[in-house]
Amino acid sequence: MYSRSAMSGRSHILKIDVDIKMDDALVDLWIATRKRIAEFLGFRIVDVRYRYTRHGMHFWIYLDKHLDAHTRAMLQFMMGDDHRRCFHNFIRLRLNAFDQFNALFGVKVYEHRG
Amino acid sequence: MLYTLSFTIVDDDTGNYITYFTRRGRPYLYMRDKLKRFMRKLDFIEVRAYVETRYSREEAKRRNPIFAATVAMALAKPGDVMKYGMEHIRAKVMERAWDFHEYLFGRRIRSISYEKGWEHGSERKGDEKQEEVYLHSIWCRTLADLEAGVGREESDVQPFSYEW
Repeated sequence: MYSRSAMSGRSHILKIDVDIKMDDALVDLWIATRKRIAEFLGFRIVDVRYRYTRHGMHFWIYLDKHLDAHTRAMLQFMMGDDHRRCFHNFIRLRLNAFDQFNALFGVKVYEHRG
Repeated sequence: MLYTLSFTIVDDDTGNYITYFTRRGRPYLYMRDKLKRFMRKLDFIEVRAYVETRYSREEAKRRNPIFAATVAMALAKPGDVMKYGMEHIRAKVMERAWDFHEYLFGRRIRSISYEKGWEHGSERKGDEKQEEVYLHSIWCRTLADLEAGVGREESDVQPFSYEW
């Protein structure tokens, strides 16, 4: 059976999509509050990386332990992920395809071919 | 024509940078961390293309399926990037995603589907064969299925090449 997963070995990373661009002070505050949320839920954030995109920001939050797909989907929602993305993530989770479809698009298009 | 201009893209799995460059005519892919230090050499870059079909809830009462998504994943070596260029690689992977999507749902779904985007990942050692594309599709047929979380999935591995 072919077993490649988009996130193989990376189940300790949360991918968060935020649709606004924050300045440095707000980013620091945002990360500090995420740390408190993670502590409250029994996890620890060991590293955070972020990039500015065309419409907002992408965050990669590194946790101290590997988690299953359901917990990651729940945590991404708690951490303030784009709610429409969360809605689709929960659908994908129910279809057992969370890892393959939990995407942060490096190159995003909305192009019809019809 | 060889693509020798260096570029940097974001590894969408980890948030690191992936840098492509050529030295003395040889192509290299390296991963760099947030301080832009070279972390490790990569054997492959993974390109994933997403195609999605989605109806509104009102339309879904009349039509099927309500939700369908397909991803195509393929690996590209530094030599492939040099020979074909990233644009061509992305287009080829997206083409396979469309082919699989249409194979499952028919050609008429093209008018209501759209390309969602590409993701890039890093692979240090590819256990899988590089000449293959991994295809995965999920869908729900009805609104009730969607709300109940009852869906179907189909995956396949097919031979693949970046040839023109």
